[in-house]
Amino acid sequence: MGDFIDLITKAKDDPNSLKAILRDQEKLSQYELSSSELEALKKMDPATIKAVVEGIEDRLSLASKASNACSGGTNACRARMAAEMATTTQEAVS
Amino acid sequence: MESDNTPNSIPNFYLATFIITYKCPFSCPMCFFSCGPERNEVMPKEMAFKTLEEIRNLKISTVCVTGGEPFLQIDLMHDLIIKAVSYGMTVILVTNAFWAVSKEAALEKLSILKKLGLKWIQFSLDDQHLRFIPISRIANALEAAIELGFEDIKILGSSKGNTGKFKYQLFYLEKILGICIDNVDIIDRPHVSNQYFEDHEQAKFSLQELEKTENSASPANKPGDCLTELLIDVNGDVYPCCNNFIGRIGNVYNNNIKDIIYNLNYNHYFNIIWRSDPCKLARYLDKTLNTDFCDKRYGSWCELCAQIFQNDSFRDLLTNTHPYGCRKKTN
Repeated sequence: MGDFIDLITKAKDDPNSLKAILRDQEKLSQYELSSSELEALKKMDPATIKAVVEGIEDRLSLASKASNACSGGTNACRARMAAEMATTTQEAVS
Repeated sequence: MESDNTPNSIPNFYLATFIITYKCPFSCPMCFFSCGPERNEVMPKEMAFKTLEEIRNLKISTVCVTGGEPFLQIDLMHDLIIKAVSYGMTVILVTNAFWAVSKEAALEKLSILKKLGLKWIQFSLDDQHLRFIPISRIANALEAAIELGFEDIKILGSSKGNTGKFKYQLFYLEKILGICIDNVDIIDRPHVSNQYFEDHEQAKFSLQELEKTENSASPANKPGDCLTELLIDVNGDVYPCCNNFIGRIGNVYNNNIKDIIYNLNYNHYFNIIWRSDPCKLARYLDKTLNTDFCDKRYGSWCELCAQIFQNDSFRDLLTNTHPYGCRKKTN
């Protein structure tokens, strides 16, 4: 049993598969979709889904350089915050 | 090793994170602190305030309030935000948004925080949280935060490690729930957790590869980069990192923060990590204490630190009370 995101994942890899699933009630029932999700999917062009997801991929590829890698995710170690914090602990401690 | 041992070589910490509780409505396997509904630990308010004041005196001007789920300790969360804002600090709140059952509920909760002076807010969005929290709640919280004009809104997710679904979760937010995330900062982090380490799902790199790789395995661009955050745990333990994989450097009940940071200067092992990286510490421990860290594979520096410091013998390696931890001050 999949969900909407599983279905979108499939659509991105193979846009035609989404069309096929939407036409096949049995296959469609394998995904737990709400009525609003189903409605939204039917209105979407699979090629657009692919394009939008690729746009997000591009954004993430930039994000991975700008703000990635802090496993806690608080972003303290990234340049943006470092640049904002002009004062240092060095002078306060010593 | 280095002879430079003066106070001037103390690392700069830019942010202090307060883990105010381990209580959380959910138990996610990637959680650094194994938080969950059954956990009841809460940071005492007096300790939190005393530590906050010490941090202010050290000119660390940004604090992060998180847990567990900070909304489950709403009074302490509010009090810390009020106090930090009164000190002129920037406050970041990290939450899973379980409380955002509707946009109205989210607006009500977040407008209070906005009035208290909170400017930065961060929402978790990943497979593990989504097992428990409908994505619609993240959407409600995001929509409310955007509407209220929070200065900095972040989504904290992961497209690495164990999930490739982050991009589709963002797609869902944008295209199905209609949330404009153009001005939302997206943090795409590696998934690291004790459980993942045990599963070896991320164990991709030998130590040699880890030293050379410049991809997501490295949490920093240069030595010392990742040691810029102080983490204050519920029990007063202090870590020099955004998580507790690394060894603690002290406890606020035993020392003040200033002394804890100052003592780092004389801790041989901390200096190895700070001036180089954890790989060098692994090699040093293998050479001097006959460990076998160099023979294993790791997904990231974080995982290597976890493997080293979760070893009972090395848990306190970065405190000067540890038998191996001190080095003589050179004159």
